[in-house]
Amino acid sequence: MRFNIFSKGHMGHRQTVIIRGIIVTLLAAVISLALFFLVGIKYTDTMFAEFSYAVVQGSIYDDAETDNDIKINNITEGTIDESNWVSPVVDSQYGYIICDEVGLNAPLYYGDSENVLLKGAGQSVSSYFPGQGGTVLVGGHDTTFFGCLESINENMKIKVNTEYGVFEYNVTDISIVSGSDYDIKSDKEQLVLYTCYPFGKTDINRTKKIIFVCDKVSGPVIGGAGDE
Amino acid sequence: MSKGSLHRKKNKCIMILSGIISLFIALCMSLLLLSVLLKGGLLNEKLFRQTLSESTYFDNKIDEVMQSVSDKLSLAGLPEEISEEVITRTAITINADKKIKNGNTEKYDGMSQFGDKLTANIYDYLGETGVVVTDEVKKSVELIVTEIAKAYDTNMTFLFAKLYNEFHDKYNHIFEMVIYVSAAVLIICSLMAVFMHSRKYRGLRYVGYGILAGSAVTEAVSVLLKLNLKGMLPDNKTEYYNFVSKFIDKSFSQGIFMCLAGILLFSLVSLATYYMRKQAI
Repeated sequence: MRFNIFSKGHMGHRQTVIIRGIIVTLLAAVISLALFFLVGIKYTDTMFAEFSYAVVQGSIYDDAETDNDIKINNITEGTIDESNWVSPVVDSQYGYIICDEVGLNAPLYYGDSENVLLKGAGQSVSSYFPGQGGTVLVGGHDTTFFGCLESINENMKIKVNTEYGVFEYNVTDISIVSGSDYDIKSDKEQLVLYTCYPFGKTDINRTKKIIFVCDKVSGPVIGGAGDE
Repeated sequence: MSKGSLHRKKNKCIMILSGIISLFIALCMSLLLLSVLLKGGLLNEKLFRQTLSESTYFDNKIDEVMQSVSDKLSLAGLPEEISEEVITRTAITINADKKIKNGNTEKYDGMSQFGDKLTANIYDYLGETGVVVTDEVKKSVELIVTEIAKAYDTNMTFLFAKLYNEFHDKYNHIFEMVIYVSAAVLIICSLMAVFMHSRKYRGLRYVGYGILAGSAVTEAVSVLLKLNLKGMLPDNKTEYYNFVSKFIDKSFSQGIFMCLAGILLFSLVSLATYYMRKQAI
């Protein structure tokens, strides 16, 4: 025998209407919420990323008034004793990447998780720190902090101001690649900036990256006592 | 097929269609309320300026401006007390509000009160110290006031507000469009639901279900959006970030009012349904 809660023999018309109302309302609410998570959140995230960018970039402009936590060490040469050097903590900011010629001024974080890239540029944890003599691989969003990289040309200077020193690099090569793998070198210090390509598109399926390879010009070296 | 079974099938079909329309009404309702929420909150320049005025941001700013003006006064050989009644929190708040409203473009001529008061204070001081005000002295005072006003203007530049204005300009029109479109679709869906049923009050019931669902979704989504946005920002405990956090809180706190507005609309629809049903019987 079939059991039907909507059958009028089982309950009155009023109860049927109430239960139908509850079910329709709940279903509509659940489906609307599911649609928001499936479709809407992509758009709100893009919008909020831009708001977050405006706020973070605003805090950089407003640096003097807000006594930012990062204290830049202005050492530009010499050797930093590795035993005294403290490696930045993952997901923390340890400096800024600056290129005045194109208006680049992004907070530099150690780690490149999605959350970090909303607040600035992120250095891959599998790469080297500035001053360690290897590849410093740094990524950022082309829609926010790295949007201005579109105007960067070869031979432009990029500064990396960190809590332990100020480094300067020279852009030597710009290339567009497919995929996201990059060989980390340990024998030559290079700053490698990358972002999605083409610039400014919100298509999440973009697979191309634009890579800016920059050779070190100046800055201290992290090494054992007496190393140069 | 008997006439009765055909009738039942038709009723079932209408019921399913009404359910689907309810879903569309819920979607449009939540879209409409969320757009109103964002437009009245995160994209509300007035709320942005108001939150800035109420925050502790200017407590630090006043020291900075004071320092800059005092340096200029010292260079001119004048005591810093001259600026005491000129640079007040209220004056800074009003001037900042004006400047942000005009996209940081208002120069010191717009702050004539600042210049007039400073000039009067300098003349008072000169009078007290027995300096005779000649044309040359007048020229010097004018030059000093201009220089100080320039320094004041530079200090009162809020570039973060410019970035916020850019963000506002980009999204404001989009949400205006969303409000109009979702309101139009909401009305069309409601009319479809009502006219689909031979007894209009039955269709109106489905409109009510959609409105109620949409209102509940608005509140849930606004809470999620607030948490999401706060999670995207660095957790710095500076005056600037405190202000931003306060602005986000204020922006999304209106979500509950949007939800209540939806519930009120649902109550009106329910009331209309009740009277229409009574009349039909």
